Amino acid sequence: MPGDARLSHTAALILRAISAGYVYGFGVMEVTGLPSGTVYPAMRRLERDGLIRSHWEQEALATAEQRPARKYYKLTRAGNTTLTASLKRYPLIEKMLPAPEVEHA
Amino acid sequence: MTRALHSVRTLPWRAFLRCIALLLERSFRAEWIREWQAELWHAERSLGSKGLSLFEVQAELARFTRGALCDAALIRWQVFRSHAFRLNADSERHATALASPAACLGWLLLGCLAFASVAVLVPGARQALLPARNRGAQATVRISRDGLAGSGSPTIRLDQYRQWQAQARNLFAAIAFYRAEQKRVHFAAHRSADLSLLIGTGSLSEVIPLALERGSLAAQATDTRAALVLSDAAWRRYFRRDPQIVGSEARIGEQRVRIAAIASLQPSSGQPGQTMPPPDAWLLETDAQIEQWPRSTHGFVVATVRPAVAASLPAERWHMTVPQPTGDEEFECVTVADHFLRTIVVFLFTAILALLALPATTSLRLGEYGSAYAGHHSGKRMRRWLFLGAKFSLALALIFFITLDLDCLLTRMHGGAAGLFSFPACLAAFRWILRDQRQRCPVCLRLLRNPARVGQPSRVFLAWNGTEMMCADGHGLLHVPELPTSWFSTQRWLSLDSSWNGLFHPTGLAPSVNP
Repeated sequence: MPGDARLSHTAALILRAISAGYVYGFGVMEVTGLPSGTVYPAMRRLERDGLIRSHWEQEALATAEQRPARKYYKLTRAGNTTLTASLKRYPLIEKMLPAPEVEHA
Repeated sequence: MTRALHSVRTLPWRAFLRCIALLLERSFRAEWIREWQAELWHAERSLGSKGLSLFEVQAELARFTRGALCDAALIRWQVFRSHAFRLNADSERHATALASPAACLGWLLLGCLAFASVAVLVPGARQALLPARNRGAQATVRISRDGLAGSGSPTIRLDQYRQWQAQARNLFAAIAFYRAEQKRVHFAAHRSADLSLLIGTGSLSEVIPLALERGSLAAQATDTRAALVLSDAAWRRYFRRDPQIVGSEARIGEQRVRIAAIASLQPSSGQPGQTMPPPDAWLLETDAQIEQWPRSTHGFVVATVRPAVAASLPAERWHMTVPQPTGDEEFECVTVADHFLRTIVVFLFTAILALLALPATTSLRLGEYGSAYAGHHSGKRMRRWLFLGAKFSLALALIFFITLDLDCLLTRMHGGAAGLFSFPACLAAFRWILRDQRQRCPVCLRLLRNPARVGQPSRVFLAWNGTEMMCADGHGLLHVPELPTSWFSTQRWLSLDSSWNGLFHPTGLAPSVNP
């Protein structure tokens, strides 16, 4: 069951970052300090395990802002359960991440 | 302007991402490139807004795009694992396809039917499968001295042929005499070739079915020259299918002959001595020319038996007794289209050879199953032996039809190597049958599953080590020794009584799936 999944510290940190509002991959990189070679593969594994789900921004919205559309991530219900369990295991994660920056998704 | 500047700064990294994307399957590539290029764009904008120098931005972008390589490698690995899992699942499915005895026999039967269907479609094989009496209204026989039918040598004298020609009209609708020789034939335009000839009487074309592709033999009755009928193969090989050759004159030594026709041999007709290949040409001499042959000339005789007589003949082979003043002479008559019998005999011979060679390649023991049938109906034991017999029968039938198909196809191409196929095929089939029988539960005849290594090889003299397999329905366990010893020489069945039923799934153990 996903709730029983034992996440690594890195995966739990990424999950915490996404739940904190850092929904883009580069944003997770910046807030966690992890390299892209760790963050993006980890997010793929988390999506494969059903803990997060990816979505594409609306193309019209991105075009209006003169930028390319990005893929953003949101926690699933199973991801929330797993994160709650992981935070008990890694209590410092909550203190490591600052307050979430508000980004229009 | 800003966008153009972004494009220029990220150009090399976008190209790098496209190169990395080649690692991915085509279906993932477009979305992956779109995702990473979008992230690259925002990374460059974020880094550029931090007041870093151009070089520092580029260095950061290099570090960023390096992660794309890890991401692509992960996706590639996940795809590979999913394919490997699918292959494993397929092999698991294939293994379970033969699990039940009905499925095993069903597949063998399906193979037999498939190759039997091919045999019906291949003309030579179809004719070989028909009983001899149904092969056309007339039966063509080859007459040889008794006991010399398979020798391949000419055994009939010319005077004997003339005697039958005069006296056996009630028996034979047509009879022909010929001999096989290699002669140099000189054609027009100073062309010549060494051809294998069947030189015989004019009635030869009536007895041996020649399919005339060009020309005809109608003029032979009035022409004083012998008629040369070239085979299709020789016409192609020596004359490149030149149509002008038909009707022209050729010379064999001092004898002038007329090239009357081009013919191909029907696949159902046979030649004396099965090892003789079809000839390059047939030379049909006139009666006057035949009269000049010495009486003691030895050759072959083929005849067409009258339909009324053919129906009463015993089999493909029968004996003919010819009363002579000096005593009766025995002759053997063999149906020319005796292909089926030949194939059967060769196949059975190779199957027996394979059976004799089987003990040299594998153990014949099926194991110790003394306790297997305790508490079960006595018919279970018989059912196991019947299953073994059915596998042998179906396997032999399958290999026979494959051999027949190959024999007819390769004979048409003058290969004739199909007989070499049946021995290794029979040997491999027998080995598989024994191996399959050993791996089945003696009670339900399903394939045993979940092989588990038991014991340590280093303790082979102190304890038992080998492989344990179980019946999915809980009938028992099979212990196969790794090394045969005097106290455990062959596999042994351990029956489980009904108290074990609760541990086994009623429909068998479900395969474990770990993606």
